[in-house]
Amino acid sequence: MSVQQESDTAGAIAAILGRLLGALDTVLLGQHEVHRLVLIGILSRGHVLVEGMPGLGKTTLIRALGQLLRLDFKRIQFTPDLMPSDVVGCSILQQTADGRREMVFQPGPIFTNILLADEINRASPKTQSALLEAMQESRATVLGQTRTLPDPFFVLASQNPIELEGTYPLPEAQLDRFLLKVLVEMPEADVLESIIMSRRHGAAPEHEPIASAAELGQLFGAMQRVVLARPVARYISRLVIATHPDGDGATDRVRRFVRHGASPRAAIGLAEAARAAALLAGRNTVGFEDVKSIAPAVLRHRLILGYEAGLERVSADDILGSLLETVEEVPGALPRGVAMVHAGVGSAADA
Amino acid sequence: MMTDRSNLGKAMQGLVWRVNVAAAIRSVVDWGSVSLAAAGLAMLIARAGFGASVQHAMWAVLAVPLGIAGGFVAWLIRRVDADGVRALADARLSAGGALMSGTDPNNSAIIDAVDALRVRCRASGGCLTALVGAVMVTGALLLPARDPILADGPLRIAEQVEDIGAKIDALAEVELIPPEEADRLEETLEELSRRASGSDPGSAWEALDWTEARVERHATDAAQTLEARHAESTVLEELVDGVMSEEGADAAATAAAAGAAMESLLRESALSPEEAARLGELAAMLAASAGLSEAERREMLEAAKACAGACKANATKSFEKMIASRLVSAEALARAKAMSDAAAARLRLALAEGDCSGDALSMCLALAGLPGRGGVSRGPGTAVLTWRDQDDQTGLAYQPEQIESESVNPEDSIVIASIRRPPEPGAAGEASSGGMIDPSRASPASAAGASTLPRHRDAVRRYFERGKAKEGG
Repeated sequence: MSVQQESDTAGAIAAILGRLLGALDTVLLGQHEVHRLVLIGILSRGHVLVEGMPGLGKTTLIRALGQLLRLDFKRIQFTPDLMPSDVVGCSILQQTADGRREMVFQPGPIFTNILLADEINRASPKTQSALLEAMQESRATVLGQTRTLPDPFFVLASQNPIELEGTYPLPEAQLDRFLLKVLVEMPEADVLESIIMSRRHGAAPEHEPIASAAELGQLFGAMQRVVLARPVARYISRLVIATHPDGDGATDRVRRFVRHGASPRAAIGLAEAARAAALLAGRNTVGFEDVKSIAPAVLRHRLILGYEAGLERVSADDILGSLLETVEEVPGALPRGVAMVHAGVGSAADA
Repeated sequence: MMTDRSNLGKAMQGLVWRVNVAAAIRSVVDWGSVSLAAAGLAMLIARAGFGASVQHAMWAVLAVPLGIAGGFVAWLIRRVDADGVRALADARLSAGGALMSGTDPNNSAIIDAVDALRVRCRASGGCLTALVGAVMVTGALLLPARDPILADGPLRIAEQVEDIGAKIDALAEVELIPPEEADRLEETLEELSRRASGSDPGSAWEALDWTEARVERHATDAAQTLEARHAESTVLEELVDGVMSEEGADAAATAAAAGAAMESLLRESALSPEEAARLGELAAMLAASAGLSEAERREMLEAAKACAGACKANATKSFEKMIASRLVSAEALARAKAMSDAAAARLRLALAEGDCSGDALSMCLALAGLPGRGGVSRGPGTAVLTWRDQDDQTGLAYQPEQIESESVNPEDSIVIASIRRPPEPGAAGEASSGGMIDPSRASPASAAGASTLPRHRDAVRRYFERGKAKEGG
């Protein structure tokens, strides 16, 4: 691909992503970062867990995303009595036109492009686990028969904070299959005022699809061309290793509060999400700042904290924040006592 | 490796060059400062611990240029990684990987940003170490010189040995010291020269002091002998002179009386045996000169006068040799002459009264102060020192203790102090330093120049403190 062609393609990708982001910003006011992270999840072909209090617009956001991408969209409202067959489908006995009776598979709502798993932590662990194979391998096995899910397949799950009544914490294995965990915060007062003025009966504005299937393919193709330099990959690996209490570069807080750190799947996901963040920023090269911007969303649900963290009210975000400050981007690049400073700002890490 | 000739490549090369310069400076400062600190520590230890001289301690400063060279070599071995600097610059500029991938080599904004990056060398730690090192070096230089522990080697006492040897030779030349004693002292000096060691200078100096004190004692004895010879020969000369001036019938009787007086004097004379024998011969002839003619008697008197004058000249000559060898002072000769003159004056008075007996001669010498003739003694001479408590009124009998002074073995000595220079004489009467003996500082009033040896002091102290022991006990 020539430089001109590449430039044109980058411009087109940036235009598509800009339109998508703009449309999402009109759906959920004041949640630009949430929209950016969700788009990163889509570009990375990862699953996104959206967490927030009821009424913050999680479901609305995910439904709007389906509309905008012109993808098949289905929703499952998870309840405590939801069964696994309600998710993946089941075979039922039916009579054919010639009068014979046979077992016919009735696909569940999982057979779609975008699956909205609403309030996923209200279902029992058994039903939650029904999603495991689908999320990891994009296929479902029912009665010994494996069926491939449509491509692309995204699970956008919403959950209430686990401290609420009637919730079942997601098992670690399933949590690890979510690329991102996005926190939806309460909007500011002026944003809330805008929401009140523009939403009658809570209805979000309808949107026409913005990206066609071809454009979506173009986005995924652009992701393949994003360059991840080896120093950045090295930074990602050191960052993930540092989340382990016995890993190199682990801080005192990690050793004290973390029981288990992030998995290699998290490292792969972080690299992929960083590529998406770079693409969303209009670049085809990944920088350290892309990793830093996406690391909390990728890693926060993968850290298993000990009871001391609960006692001390230390969250995974607190620990990750300290890690991002501590782990050097390029250790040993400068000799001891030599510092590189830009615009009057120095870094203690290189001293 | 291909050279990146784009604008961004040039900017990155400039950045890497600046980092390399800062790294070289820092490396040199680090190693140099550590070397300076090590040199300062070594100098402090050398000066304060071993008393090394400034010149020797300053050798440690050689570590500083070596350290600086080591820092430079260390920097050469481990040069700055250009890829690492590129990645770090990307991180500092938040360039989004553009510097690492080089996908936009002519982006002026990025190039300007790279040029704007500042590389700083923070050498504060190194400077602090260098400051500590400089303080230690300065402290070491300001430390006063300490007497070093002398190395195990020969002690430089040749000058002192030569000086004492010259004195012994002078005493032997005037024949006022027994030849065997002179040989023994010479042997002692040779043994001392051979065995004197820098590791135990105290023993050597003490033995040297003892030898010198012994020589001084011989010199004192010799001076007394010469004083007596000078006085006796002067008196005899004056006696003969007085007899020769006598004329008339009584001249023969006077000459015979003078001869008898001379025989009486020469029986306990300080003159050398040869001189005493020659004069004794003449005296006997004079005593028996009653039947001789006037001419024969005068000839005999002339011979006796010449012999007495020769004895007096010999004594003066010996005195002068001892003065030249610094065995006695010039005052000793003057004192001897004054004593002789006084004795001669008294003899003239006695002769005028017609008394030329042996008792008159002895009285003249005694009144002139000649020792051994009834005059005041001026010291113990070579007598063995013995402390005794004659008075037992205190109820405490002090155990008599004889102090050995004849033999000294340097190996039996105990080191009580080490000095690296010969004891220097101070003002008269001042206590000797370092427990050494210095005869030259003894009181001028004393005939013997020796003071108490260190090994005797304990006995002396016990003697004088016996009263305190009783009071306390």
